[in-house]
Amino acid sequence: MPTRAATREQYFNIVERVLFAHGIAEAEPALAEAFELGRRLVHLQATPDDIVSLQSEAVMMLGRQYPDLSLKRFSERINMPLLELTMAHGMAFRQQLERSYQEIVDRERATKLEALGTLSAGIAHDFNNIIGCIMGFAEMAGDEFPPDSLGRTFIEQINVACFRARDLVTHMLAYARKSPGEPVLLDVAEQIRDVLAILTPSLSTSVSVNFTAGDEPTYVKASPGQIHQIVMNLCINASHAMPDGGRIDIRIDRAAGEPGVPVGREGNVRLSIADTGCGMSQEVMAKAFDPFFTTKAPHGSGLGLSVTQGIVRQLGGEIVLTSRCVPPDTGTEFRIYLPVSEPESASIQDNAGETV
Amino acid sequence: MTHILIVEDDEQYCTMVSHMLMKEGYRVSVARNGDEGLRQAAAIGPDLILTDILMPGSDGIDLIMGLRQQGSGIPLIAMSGGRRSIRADFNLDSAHLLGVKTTLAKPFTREELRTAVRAALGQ
Repeated sequence: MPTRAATREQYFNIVERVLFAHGIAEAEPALAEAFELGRRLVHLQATPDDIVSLQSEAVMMLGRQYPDLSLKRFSERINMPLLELTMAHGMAFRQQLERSYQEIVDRERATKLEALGTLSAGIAHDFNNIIGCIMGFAEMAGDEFPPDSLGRTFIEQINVACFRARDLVTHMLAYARKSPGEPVLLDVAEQIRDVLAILTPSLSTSVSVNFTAGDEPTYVKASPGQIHQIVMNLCINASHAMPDGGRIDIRIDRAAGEPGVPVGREGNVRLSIADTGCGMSQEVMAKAFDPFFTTKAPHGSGLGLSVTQGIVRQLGGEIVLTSRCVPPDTGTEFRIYLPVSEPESASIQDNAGETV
Repeated sequence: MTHILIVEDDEQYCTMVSHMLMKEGYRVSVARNGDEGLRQAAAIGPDLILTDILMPGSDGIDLIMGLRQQGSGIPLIAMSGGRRSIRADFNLDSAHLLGVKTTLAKPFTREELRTAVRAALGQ
């Protein structure tokens, strides 16, 4: 640990002030300093062991300098600065961990999206040529069948499939191009439709997806990539919970909130994603948002939900989970609350900028 | 008979479009890149040129610019893959800037091709 002597001296000074303070109130500034020192120790890369040795060195110095110190006073006060120090150190250490974890996750996400973008742009040209050939030849082949024949119907189905493939390429490109990006004012309902267009074909056919949107506008400030990732992660989890098929209900509306949820100044947009899957036990629910916790080992990374929670909180919102795992009525629901942004206020700003 | 020159590097796509146009009663010639397209255009004097934009070697933009330099008045249709992709938009926008009025984003239907050809021929 760097600047060891200075730290040792500072801590001993704190301990002295706490021990000889007249009453706890007078010890308060020294305790606050211990707390501040604890936070700083994290940046000095001090370990819990370093803190233990700081304390024992302080105790030994006390013994040398104050041989007559009463045992009562000593035992009453000696742990007070240590508690502040370890508590602050622990908290700061945890924050530092979370920050570096978030950095890793963000970087990983950016890399993946970039790869998807490059891939989509690269294959789009060739892929559209291929789809174009199938579409064109199929249309011409249709001429060879009499109208209302089964052959004509089949050819029409080939064309429908081609349109689907064409739309998929379009959405893939749109998805890759939009993310990641700066937060903008966007309609969550519209973003969900975009994601579902890509996602639905990739889900098992035994999983049905229903999307309903309320009448009120559902604008928030976010980057499209963030909304996409939230919906993707939750829907993929939902489909994994239903290997034998089931239903994913996605609902979006405006709502005040619920206990434990901060309410945005203008209210919240509520996004609910519910499945009819196997549900989670209390133990699993308690750990569901923990990084690296997965029930899908060895395939799951254990990052999906924690990343989702990270994004939601970055947007100033909260995610709530309810789940039932006792048959017959099993399933999981995630409710996400995001602070509403009004499109009107944004356009007023824009207009003001133009007229000045 | 109206003569259409198709400039397209993707052989299968070229065959498909040729057949579509022949079925509509047009006479069709083909070229594989911009340079060949320019030579063919000079040799056969087509009524319409349907060109891809993104091609290896000399591309559709080279062809369009070459024709402009020659003061050619042959109507053009620019086509490019990747509907709404950044690159296709960019390609088709470049063609627009160079004075090409009719564009087709791949993949297109026979009806879209028909409409574009008629529009370019002023029919």
